[in-house]
Amino acid sequence: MGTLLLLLGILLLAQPARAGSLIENKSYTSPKTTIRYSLWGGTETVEMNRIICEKFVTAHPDIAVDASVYPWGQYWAKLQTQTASGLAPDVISIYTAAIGIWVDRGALMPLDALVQRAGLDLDDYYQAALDNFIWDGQIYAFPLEIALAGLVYSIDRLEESGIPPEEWPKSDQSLSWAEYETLARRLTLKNPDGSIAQYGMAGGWSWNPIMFRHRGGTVLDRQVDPTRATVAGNEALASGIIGVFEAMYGHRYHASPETVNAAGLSGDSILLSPKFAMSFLGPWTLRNFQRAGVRVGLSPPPHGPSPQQLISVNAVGIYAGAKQPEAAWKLVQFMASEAVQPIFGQRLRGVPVLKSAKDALINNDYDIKGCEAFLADLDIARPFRSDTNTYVPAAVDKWSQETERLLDNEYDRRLFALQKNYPNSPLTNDAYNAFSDQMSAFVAATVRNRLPQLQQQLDAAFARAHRQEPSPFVRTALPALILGALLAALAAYLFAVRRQHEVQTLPQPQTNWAAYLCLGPWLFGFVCFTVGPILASTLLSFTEWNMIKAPLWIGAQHYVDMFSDVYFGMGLEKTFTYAAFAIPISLIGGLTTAGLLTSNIRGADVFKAIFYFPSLFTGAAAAILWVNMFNKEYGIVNRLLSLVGIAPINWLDTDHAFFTVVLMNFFWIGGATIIYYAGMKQIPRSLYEAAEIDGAGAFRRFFNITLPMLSPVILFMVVMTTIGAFQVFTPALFFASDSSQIGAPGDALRFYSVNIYDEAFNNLHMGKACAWAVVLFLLIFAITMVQFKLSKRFVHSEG
Amino acid sequence: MDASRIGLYAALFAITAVLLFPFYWVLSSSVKSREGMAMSPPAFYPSEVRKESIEIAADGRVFSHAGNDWLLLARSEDKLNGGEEMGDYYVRLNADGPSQLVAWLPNAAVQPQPTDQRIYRFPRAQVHILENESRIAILAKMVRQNEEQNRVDELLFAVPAGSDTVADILTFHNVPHTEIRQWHFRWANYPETLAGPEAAIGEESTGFFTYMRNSFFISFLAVLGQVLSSSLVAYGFARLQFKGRELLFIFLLATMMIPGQVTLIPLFSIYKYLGWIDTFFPLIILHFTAGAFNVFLMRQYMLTLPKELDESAAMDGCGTFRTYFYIILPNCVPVLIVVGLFTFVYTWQDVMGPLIYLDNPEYRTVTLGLEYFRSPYVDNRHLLMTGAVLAMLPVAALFAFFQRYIMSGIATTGLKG
Repeated sequence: MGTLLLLLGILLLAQPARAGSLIENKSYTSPKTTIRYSLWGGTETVEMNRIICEKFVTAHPDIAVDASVYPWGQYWAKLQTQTASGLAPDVISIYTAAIGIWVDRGALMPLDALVQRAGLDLDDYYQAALDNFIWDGQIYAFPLEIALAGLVYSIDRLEESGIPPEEWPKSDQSLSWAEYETLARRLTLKNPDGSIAQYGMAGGWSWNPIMFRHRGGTVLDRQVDPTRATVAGNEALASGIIGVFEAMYGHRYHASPETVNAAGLSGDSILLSPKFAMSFLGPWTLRNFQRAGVRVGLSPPPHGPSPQQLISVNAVGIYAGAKQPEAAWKLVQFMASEAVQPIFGQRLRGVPVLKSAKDALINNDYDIKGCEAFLADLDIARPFRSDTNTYVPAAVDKWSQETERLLDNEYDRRLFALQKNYPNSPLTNDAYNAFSDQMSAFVAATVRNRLPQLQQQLDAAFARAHRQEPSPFVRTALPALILGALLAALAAYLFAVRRQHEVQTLPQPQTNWAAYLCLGPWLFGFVCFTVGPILASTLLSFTEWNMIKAPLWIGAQHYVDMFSDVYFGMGLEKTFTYAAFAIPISLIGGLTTAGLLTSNIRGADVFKAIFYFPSLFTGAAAAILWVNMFNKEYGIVNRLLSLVGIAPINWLDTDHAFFTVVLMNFFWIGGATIIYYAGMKQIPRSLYEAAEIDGAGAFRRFFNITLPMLSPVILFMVVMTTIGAFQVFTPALFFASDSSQIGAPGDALRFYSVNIYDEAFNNLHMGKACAWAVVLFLLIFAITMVQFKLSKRFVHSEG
Repeated sequence: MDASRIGLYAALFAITAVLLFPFYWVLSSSVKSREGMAMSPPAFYPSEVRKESIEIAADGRVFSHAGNDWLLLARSEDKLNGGEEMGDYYVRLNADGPSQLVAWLPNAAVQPQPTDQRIYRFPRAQVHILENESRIAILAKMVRQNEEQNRVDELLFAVPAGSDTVADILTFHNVPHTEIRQWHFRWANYPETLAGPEAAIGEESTGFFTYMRNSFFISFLAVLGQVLSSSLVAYGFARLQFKGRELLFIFLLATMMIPGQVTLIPLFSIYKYLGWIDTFFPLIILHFTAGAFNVFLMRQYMLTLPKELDESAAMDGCGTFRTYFYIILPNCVPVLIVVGLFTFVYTWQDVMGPLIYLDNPEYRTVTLGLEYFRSPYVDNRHLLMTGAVLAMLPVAALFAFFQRYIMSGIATTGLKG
């Protein structure tokens, strides 16, 4: 015990002091008050942020700023866990699409009183930008800069195509959609076999919604109707969606998301790849191209029949639990002031929200010409607000991905069929044109047919988020029933196990205090870290709780909702399927290898060690290695398969990712090998010798001696593998681009445990996550019990 | 040796090859350059395309157009375009030598440059082999749409090895050619990885050594906690008699079934209440409360020790704890090593815990560090593999060192005691 305490002491001392902050790790003065501020971005943001913070601490010597810059995906993941743990920064960066969610969660403080007291004249700011952050009549964040996008084209690609500079898009005049399409198609180059060598356009930032809007369609944002989907019967939207898919899979002058992903670049840096000629990007991407030596030109977005520019606005809000709200507001106000606003333009982060500062973008610090292109659409700017319902964008994504996959496969199939007609010569012009026209017609028909499905999925998403007022039965009776069932299960378990162990129970009923002291560490952990939390989880599962506001009792509503939740069934299906592969792989792989090793061979110990070695690597490093080896383009697995004439497979896409994760289990059979090997070694040789004398062949010996004698070991391994398989999580994390995307690609890796993590730490639905976790526990419990029951029949025991 | 035994060994070696191949791949990839990483199809060994520096006398063929200097590579009447407008193929020049861009410029637009008697360097021109097996260094390449046939034409501008005048520049039109690959080890991956993920985009980074230190620190304490607490608890279950022993042991076994997710959220709240978020405590504390599996493992082992050990210790006047510490523990070294190693391997590779509880980059573990190498802004694939090697190394080293103990230790886990 003393050692324990000593160690805890060491632990305390050894904690590195919490020095400054994260990536940009600087305290700017040594003052009385320190406020924490975090934002997303890359190197440029860090640099800009340094300038702003230095200015701020000069103006306010009594306040220090501890600023952190994260990459986009990590920023949101961090903010979730930080708010959940009460450690959110005082000043939170936020943007249009996220504001509703965070206001709903109660993470942001209303700023009205502060704005009024500071005497800010809101007319000095773009109204469209301010509108974004007014929620229920109150302003929850102050806008800083507007993300407006423009058509960005690679000058090199245009020069290569021999397009004279006079015909390049102009920075002060937008193209029409027809002109844009002609240009994009001209910049799309085909290989002799009909595959695409260079795409005219790669989507970029909010391209699709803008296409829908320009055709007069409305998108799914809060301004349309926050309570239901508006897809069915919306002909303008339909034509917009068809237009987008036609460009990607019909005439294919627009790179599909799959193609962009395969290039290994994020959308913001897509023009670094010479495979793409244009994209639709914001000013914040330009410096990156300049640094990489990619020359780009700018033009306002093309204009259609009902031109609108959807804008996202970046803002700063104050954390509802901020310890220094006054000091935090000073920073917010400072960033919205004349002193700082031009910096956002000069550093090309976005259009300053202060009207008088907008020209700073044109005269930016990097001497990038043509930025007036971004200002052209300010007058037709509409906020791109999304709903607080996080399931809705997920439903749209899912539908789009399914449609993309369908069209992509059809495109590949048709092109392959066409190529077979031209084995040794380039495709003829006519054949290719006929092919792409047919493909276009197919795209239009398919997308149109699938639109009702989108409507359905959206309705389901809205229904999923809309929690019904729990009935009295659900509110009180059902929780009691569930608790009762849990207790009954526990009692049944104890009863069953006690009976099994009855014979071994010795009549030694004495109280041995030293013994209880020995058990102390475990008892402490059992009560505080196991039983307590399980009870807490069970109680929390009857509440709605986001860790920010107080839990709200809703009874067993989460359990009721579960059955109508697509992810519940999907999670179970994926998990069971995974287990159904993992268990036999471990069983058969382990038995086979152990069988080989016990066949009286030389060097069995060396082989054993080699077989076991890979199973040590189950974590991050192995997942990274796996993702690399199975890459379609540069992965070694496809190279090896090509040696035996198998066409490249995209192992990491929606169709195959699950299978690829299952394959990892072959890599881990070694653990089972060792245990089965040891088990086989313990079987008395005399049994085999006797069987051999009786004339039993190798197979009969295996089935009649080895298997029965090994059965207790097999049972143990099966139980352990099952428990492990039900908790599979790490591969899903590394197959997704970051933890907020967990489950990707598509929903391929939405294991049950992934859903729990996603609900808890990405959606902050703690109550729901607890309910799902309780069900998982019951499942594992039930399955283990069944396995033990079955074992009585099949397992040989030398009792 | 008969055929069946040959088959047996063949099967064993085949399995060995399959299982070890990923390790070969991660090691070899860890010294690949970014270019080597992105090769398609991938090379089996770390390689790059062979490159040569070509120096060429401009020989009066430098022109200016649109504010840039251009070097004339080929005249269009030689071959290629066939359009109505006459023009030539140029490569744009910059201060350091020619860039790789090629443009077709109309003749009327270009102006001769007076100062054109310089030598131009094509640094790192790729060496390719043509279909007729001659070697060329590619100065520039151009892919153009062929309007008539609606397909792409590839134009190569190249010189045979050893050429030094513009007159030697050859143009090839749709000629099959393959790059020459050669061994290339990029050892700089290691220092760059060790510098940390942010260093790759030119920012300050806490660096990989810090991650290693953190991971070692957490894993070391976890091992210590697990070894001490589990052995003590196992000792209680294996060697001592007390009321409720069977029942408690059943509870202990039952906790193995509890998925981590069930306790995750309440534990998170407890740690939050204690102010332990963004510290190492949540990652260590549980290891001091004895893991069920480890207790089970150690109990099985302790049951095999002869009863006389305790009895003679008691006769020598040892109390319960002294017997544990001086008699039982020294006899359990193999199983302690196994438990320690399992704990180390588990904590070293844990992703979920650090992801949820750690925030400050000063505290990042190796697994989190790897996560941060997957930057959306830079292509870090090569450093990621180096990071994977660094993350695997300690586990591999411990395995190599304690291999014997592990093999026998694991074997006992599955066997009934």
